[in-house]
Amino acid sequence: MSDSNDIKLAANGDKHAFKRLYERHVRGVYGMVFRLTADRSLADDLVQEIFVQAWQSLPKFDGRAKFSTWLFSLANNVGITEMRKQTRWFKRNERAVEFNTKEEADSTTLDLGELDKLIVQLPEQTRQVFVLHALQDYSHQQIADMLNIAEGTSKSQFFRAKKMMQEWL
Amino acid sequence: MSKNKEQQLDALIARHRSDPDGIEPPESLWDGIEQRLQAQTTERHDNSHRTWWAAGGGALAASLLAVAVLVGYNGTQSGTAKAPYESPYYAAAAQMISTQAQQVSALQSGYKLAGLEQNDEQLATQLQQLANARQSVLEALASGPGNAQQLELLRWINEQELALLEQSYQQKPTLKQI
Repeated sequence: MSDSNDIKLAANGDKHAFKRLYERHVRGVYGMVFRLTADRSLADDLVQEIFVQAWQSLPKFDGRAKFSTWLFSLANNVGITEMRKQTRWFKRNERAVEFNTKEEADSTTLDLGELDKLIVQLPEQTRQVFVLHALQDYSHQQIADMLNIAEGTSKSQFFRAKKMMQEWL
Repeated sequence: MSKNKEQQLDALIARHRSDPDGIEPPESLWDGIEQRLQAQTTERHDNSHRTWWAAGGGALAASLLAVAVLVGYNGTQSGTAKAPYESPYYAAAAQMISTQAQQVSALQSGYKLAGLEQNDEQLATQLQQLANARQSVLEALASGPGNAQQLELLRWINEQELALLEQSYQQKPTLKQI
């Protein structure tokens, strides 16, 4: 069954259809969230929240964008918003500016690709800037607004991320 | 920094952008989502239930009118009717009504034992309307071969009766004078 059929069914309350949508898209959403958080437990919580919000918002989905684009946009909004609610996120961001050492990411038991193995080692803010800019096409100005940092900070964090990852290759 | 490593990283990024890798989540993730969806559905159902009954006798009467129309319509569709009381639908309906009577009796006894009584006139009227609707369905089943839709209507009427009783005791409990 296609996404469009399942979207219609799920928007009318069909949980089986929503589960099919979940099964088709969860790997992409989980990957995106895990790259931003590098924390399995937090990624689990956020992905659950994202799909619950997707279920609630499905009746408003008008089909103008691809479902995956809509879902990823929702995932990004929920991910960043929820992360910002957490005090430890701010603490980590401060720490990220101070240290250049590799962070030990909670990625045990996850099957990560070569790029992901590098990404999860980046400090928090450096990683978020890299993921949002290099992989999700956000501009530095948009990232600055999202993360509440200066545009220049976003640019320098991106430069730093690339340098660090090149060193680790 | 060698040019080679820069190109290597750029190649990894380009590959990811053209075909983003997903990451397999833990298997139990869906269970948590499903539980939250279920909780929301139950809450939504409860709210709509309250709203429905809060609308009062008008809503109930309108719904029961729809039941009467459906029963009447189905009752006249019986082309090759079996003799009354032979239909398996009728037998199932009789069983459902008997079970319902026991459930209603047990529910009312329970509330009375807890010192609660309900002397609401509107409640009595609505219960009577439900009883009339149930009787209409039963008569329609007795006069034709019956169908699953009629049983479904009966089930719906029974559910409304139980919900109405529970709701009335929960919303307007009156302590019995001892």
